[in-house]
Amino acid sequence: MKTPPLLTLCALLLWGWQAEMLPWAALMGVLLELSRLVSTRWELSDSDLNRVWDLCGLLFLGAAVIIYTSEDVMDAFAFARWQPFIFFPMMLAQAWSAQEKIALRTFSWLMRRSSGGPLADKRINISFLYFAVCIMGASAANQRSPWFYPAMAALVLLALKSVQPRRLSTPAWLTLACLVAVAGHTGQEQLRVLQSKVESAVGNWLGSLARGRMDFGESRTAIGRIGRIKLSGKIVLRVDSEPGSAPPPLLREMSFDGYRNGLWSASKTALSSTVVDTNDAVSLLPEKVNASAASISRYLPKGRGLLALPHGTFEMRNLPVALETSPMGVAKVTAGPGFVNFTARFGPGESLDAPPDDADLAVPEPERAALAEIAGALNLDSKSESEKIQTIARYFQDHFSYSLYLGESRFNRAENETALSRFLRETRAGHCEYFATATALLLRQAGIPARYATGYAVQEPAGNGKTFVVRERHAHAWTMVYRDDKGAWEDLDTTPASWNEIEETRASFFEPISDAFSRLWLEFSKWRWSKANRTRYLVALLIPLVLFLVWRIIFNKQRRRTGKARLNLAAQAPWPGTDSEFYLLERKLAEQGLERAPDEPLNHWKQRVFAAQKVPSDALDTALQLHLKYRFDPRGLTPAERGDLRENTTRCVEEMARIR
Amino acid sequence: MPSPGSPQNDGDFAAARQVFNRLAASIESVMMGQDRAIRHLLAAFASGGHVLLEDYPGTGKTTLAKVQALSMHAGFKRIQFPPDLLPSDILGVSVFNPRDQEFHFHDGPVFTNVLLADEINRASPRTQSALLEAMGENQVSVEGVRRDLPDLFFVIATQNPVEFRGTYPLPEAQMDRFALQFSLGYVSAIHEVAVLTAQERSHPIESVEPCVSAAEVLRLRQAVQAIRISDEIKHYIVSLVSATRSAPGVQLGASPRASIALMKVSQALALFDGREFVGPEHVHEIAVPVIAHRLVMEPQAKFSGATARGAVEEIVRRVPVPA
Repeated sequence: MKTPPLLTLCALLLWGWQAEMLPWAALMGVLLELSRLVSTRWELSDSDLNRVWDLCGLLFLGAAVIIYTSEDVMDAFAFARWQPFIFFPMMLAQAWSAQEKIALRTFSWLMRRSSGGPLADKRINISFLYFAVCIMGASAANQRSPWFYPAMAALVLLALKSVQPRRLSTPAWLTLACLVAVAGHTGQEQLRVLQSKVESAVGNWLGSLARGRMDFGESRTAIGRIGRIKLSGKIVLRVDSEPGSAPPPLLREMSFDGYRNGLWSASKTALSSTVVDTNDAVSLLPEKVNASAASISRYLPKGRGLLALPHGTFEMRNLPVALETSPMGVAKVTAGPGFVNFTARFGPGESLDAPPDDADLAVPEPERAALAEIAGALNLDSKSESEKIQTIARYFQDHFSYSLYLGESRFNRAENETALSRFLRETRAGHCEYFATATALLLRQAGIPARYATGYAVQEPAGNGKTFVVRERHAHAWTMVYRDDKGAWEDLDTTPASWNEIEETRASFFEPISDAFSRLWLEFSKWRWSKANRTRYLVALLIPLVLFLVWRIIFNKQRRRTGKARLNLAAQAPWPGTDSEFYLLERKLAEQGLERAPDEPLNHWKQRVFAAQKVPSDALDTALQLHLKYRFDPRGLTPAERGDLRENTTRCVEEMARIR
Repeated sequence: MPSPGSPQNDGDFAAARQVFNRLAASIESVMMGQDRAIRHLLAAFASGGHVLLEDYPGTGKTTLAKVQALSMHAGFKRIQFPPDLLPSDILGVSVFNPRDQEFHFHDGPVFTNVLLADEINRASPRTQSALLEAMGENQVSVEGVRRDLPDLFFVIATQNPVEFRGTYPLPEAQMDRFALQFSLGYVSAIHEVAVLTAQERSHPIESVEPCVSAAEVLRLRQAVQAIRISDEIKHYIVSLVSATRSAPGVQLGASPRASIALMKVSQALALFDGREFVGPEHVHEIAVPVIAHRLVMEPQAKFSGATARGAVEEIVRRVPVPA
């Protein structure tokens, strides 16, 4: 079934208007509609149409790749708005080909290969499908103009009008159509309301699920949880230490100052945007100079996330993002590529973190008893600041062990005993969150400001020793302590060093394989998110492919023809009599519309030529008989007969010229 | 006897054409409006091949065969093929003679010059096959003894279309023995009226007189063999026949025997046209009747309506004619 005249043009114009490609759309529409006015058609065979469809498929894939690489996220809408372009060759081929319909097998390689099947010979007209593609493209490019819905509804109704059932009178049909259009409009309004409600509800729900890692205001620790804590070996970060500097041992994402019942929270969460200059460099602390440097690669899903930075980072380079920082040392990317590979310069001393205040000395009431007991036992009050820190660190090293397995503790614990005090007094075994929390609180108990920090430990070298991989299971928590004498925060990690080994035993057997893929993906990501103009490369790659396909569609026929001609020539070459003058006469007659079909013997053709009365029949007959003898009698012609053939043929040619 | 391709006596050539013309005129007097069928029948006859006529009842198959036989001074036998016919009914049988206590062979109807096998597909394949050796090698072997058939031996078989009730399709090997298969078809109204007029008082077949002797027929055959044929035409023949072996829907293509038959019948047609060499139009004209009946179509193609005739017509259309 064909669309009514001008409908496709209108649909294309709607799409062009919405997608801001009006000139193109108009050109395409005119090209399609022109085929209704012009009766000339291409003789496109099914295999030509197959190739056109292959071309469309290639354009489709190419567009997918280009959109995937040039946009930050795979944008289905951006993709849909290009569809009218992509399928235009097929529509054009149908509009201008002598065949009104396209075989179903064109659209499926599977059907092209199999010979049979009930659908194999079915043919369809794709103009309504193309119309739908245009409408979809227009919808995808929707600029939320108030005119869009009426225009689209009018077009769809116009399309439906052409298939209006006979049992409905036009007024009745129009009434129904208007009703449907209005109902559709109301429906989509309500749908939008519903969508925004669902979106916010799902957002809240997901947010509550993912709070632990995503929300830098709070960190729910696993303190007090029973059972094993399992984290995967997936590589989340790669760190390359620059020549001459040691790699940063810890990469911090967040820090917290308030603790309550296994939940650390941050009191200073206000974010301020940081200027990223045109060279993609960020200067956090302009005065600082003493530095090590490390290059850090990580994925930022959807272009957002927290950066894990070494303590005391003051400058980052090659970071094309919008960045916000908080007084708790959080660096949050609010918009950026899906992958960053930046260089961080860092050093001891000044850092982003705000100076300590009362919150950094607060010890929660439920833990106070246990902490005071230990502080007393360690005789902390009598020591200097640095001695206190050393004593506490040694205390945890000497008397505690690392364990990811936390069993049974809950069931036989005494009244008012918290998980942390149980860790301090009885089990003396736990994971990094216990150590970090206990250290921080013990430091506070001793009057030293301390914070709880989360992030990753850099400990697994990969390859040359300069590169380190950081896996999900290297997620770590530690303590930040404020040194009054230096006037700066410092990292203090009291978790026993054995945690590394314990974590490594949890490595999966297949980890080397997944690491190899991870490595490949990293290289691809580096290329994909690099600043180079990839689209140009892709187009450069696509253009020869497209040209090749077009060349095949246009020139394949000709190539086949010349191939056939050569074959005939080869077959004819050895035969006698191919120099006969009669061929000249045959050619002259062919020019006058008396072409001989390839399967038409000369004698049959002769009858038609006689009927046309273009040449004297006696001369033609004589010439033909002599020609046949010359060609097919093994004995050939005598010289006299050869002369006769020449003479009669010439006479025919001359006569033809005279009659004309 | 002049060998093929050698210079030929003009007298022989003209005499051979004369024989053809006389025979054609004699048959034409009974079979009105069937000149094309007569031409094909005589072409097969003159080239030493056998003919299978397939058509609906009442179109004149038997009459054509009879009138052809009656036009010659030659032996003519007719076998009606009922379903219970036995091979010995065709070839002959040895009968014990109690008087001299010996077996005597009684020639079957196959020992003749012109054999009309009427409704050949009504007999069982076993009986049909009795004709294989006779048609292929001009001899029969009965009870271990080889018996030669006369030099002039021509089988003209008729059959009803095989879709009809009570018929056995001929085996492929048997089909291949026939040089030509064609049908007569219905004649035009004018000719049908002429047929009625001719049969108002008596059947015109009764007035057919022999006009050609067996010796003349053999000379005609020799003249046909002397018709020249160029290598190019041979190539054309072979390309037509070999194309059937790869044609879509064809399970079994035509054999080299088909190529040979096509060449020989084309030679006969050239002679009828008064030409001493075969032209492409002769091959073109006779290709379908010579080739089509030898093909075995794939069952799938058959169900979708493809016929062997259609397949050959397509090939003739596709292969370019030498010009």
